[in-house]
Amino acid sequence: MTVELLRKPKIINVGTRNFHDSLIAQGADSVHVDWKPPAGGDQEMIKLLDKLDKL
Amino acid sequence: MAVKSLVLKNEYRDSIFLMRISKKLEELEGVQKASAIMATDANKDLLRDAGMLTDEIKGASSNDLMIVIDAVSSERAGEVISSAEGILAEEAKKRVEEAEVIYKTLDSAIGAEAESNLVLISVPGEFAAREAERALKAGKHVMIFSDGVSEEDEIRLKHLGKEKGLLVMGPDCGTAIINGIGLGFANVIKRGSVGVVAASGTGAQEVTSLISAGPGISHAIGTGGRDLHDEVGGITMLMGLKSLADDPETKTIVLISKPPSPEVAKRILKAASEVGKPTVVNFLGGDPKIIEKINLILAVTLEDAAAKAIALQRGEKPKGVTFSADLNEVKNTAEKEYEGIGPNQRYIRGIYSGGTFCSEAMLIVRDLVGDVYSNAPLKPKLKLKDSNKSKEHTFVDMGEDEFTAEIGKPHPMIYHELRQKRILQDASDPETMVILLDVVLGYGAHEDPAGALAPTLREAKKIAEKEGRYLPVVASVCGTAQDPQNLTAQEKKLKGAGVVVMPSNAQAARMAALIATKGEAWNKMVG
Repeated sequence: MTVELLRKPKIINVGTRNFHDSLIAQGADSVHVDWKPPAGGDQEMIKLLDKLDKL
Repeated sequence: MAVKSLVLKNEYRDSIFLMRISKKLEELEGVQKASAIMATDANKDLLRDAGMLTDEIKGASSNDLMIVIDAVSSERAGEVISSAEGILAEEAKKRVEEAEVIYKTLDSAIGAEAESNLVLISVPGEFAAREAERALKAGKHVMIFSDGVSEEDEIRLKHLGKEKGLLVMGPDCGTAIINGIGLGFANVIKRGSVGVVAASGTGAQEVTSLISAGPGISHAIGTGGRDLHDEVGGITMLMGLKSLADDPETKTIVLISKPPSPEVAKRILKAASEVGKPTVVNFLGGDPKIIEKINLILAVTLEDAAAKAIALQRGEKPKGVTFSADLNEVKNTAEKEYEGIGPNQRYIRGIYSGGTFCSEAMLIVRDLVGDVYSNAPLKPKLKLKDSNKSKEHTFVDMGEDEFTAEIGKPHPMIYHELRQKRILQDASDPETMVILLDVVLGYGAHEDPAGALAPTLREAKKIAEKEGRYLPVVASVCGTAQDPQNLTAQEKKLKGAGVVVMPSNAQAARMAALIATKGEAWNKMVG
């Protein structure tokens, strides 16, 4: 279940840049997502987009 | 004073990055207040309350970054805004120079990084569940650092994770260590053979830091604070326990939580008793009988949990810790501190950045000094009417939302201004007998917390001295010598400011109680 994770975590960091920098400083395998609120943060629009995604 | 602002359209930056910029700008000459924040409605309201809402900002959207400066003159405010632009441009240039691959969305990262297995999410709470669901559906384990995710979403995500055999650490999971790698707020820990599953971030930091001086840590899996509620059912703690049971590197297990729901506790303790590895349980303030009955090892404090795990690992009989230094030395230190106390000084004032540290300290001192008031009290009747005012023995958790909601005032582990104010306020109160503090190190925390607090603590002692009182200050530092801030260096800075530095939060609480009772608590503690 978690064998692979515990053996070697390979991380995608979404949000706080500082966490990615700390991971890199520790020699970890990490990539950063420069996240922005989807649809300008409009929750109604996000729900609509998610529905479209599912189609 | 003059307020000037700048709105940068579609320029999203994370809150920790922005807080660092705000702080840098606020330290510039002639600046009264500086805020670099996203233009959400909530943030605009806060600016309005602070009298810093400009016309330009009124029209900004939540995707825009706003920089607002209140400075001695309009000219100075303009200069500081230019400095802010310079900092942002420099940071962007650095990224380009490093030629780093940066993804725009989680989906694009998942598509390109097929071998990734863990997604660390720290976006604002309202968006966190959406990202977590995407990660789980793509077959990735998740750690949700964000708070403000509903319990309903937590339950949904954890069931989805369970179905797919994926860990959901969090929401509100402050720390985790996976194969030596610290995620979120984490200390630099020696790799070893003790595995931890914790429903408390600072609890895990204390236990892993203390064990780092001994056998070291294999993994520390965080669950988030609500995992052991009835509704969530301990899904992550059970999965974490199973992971450590199957992990050949893990020889001893430590479980940490605030008191869980009795039903969930039963399930977890039963599972733990079937693992076949020695397991230490610290359910802060929980019922000890259930734990001992099924052959697990009970720990009453975080330090106790660490000490017992270390002993088990060494093949020794686990025993508790009251004070780790020579007892005479401890007694002498306390005596020296209460010698100079005035007749009206009676109360302990605990000013905490870590919620679990605050709870643990209250549990320890209430048996020695009596009731403790708090904004996060042990019993409802002990809730402070006004969290900003101490009453008798008062312990405040300054990481609670009521203190961190103010603009540009994030968690007290990163930003010390509110704690500094509170320290000075309690120092001025003639009834304050001891000030008790926690200091947390590691990735994510302030780069020099002891350095930031030391001048305030000196000033606090001076305030008391001017009024003819002596003010003892007791603290403990959670961290390791390998942390970027360095444990020894941080302790030295506090000692230099006249602080009695104890090796754990529990021992610091006991020392404060010893001073507050002028030694009377000694027999209860040491027997």
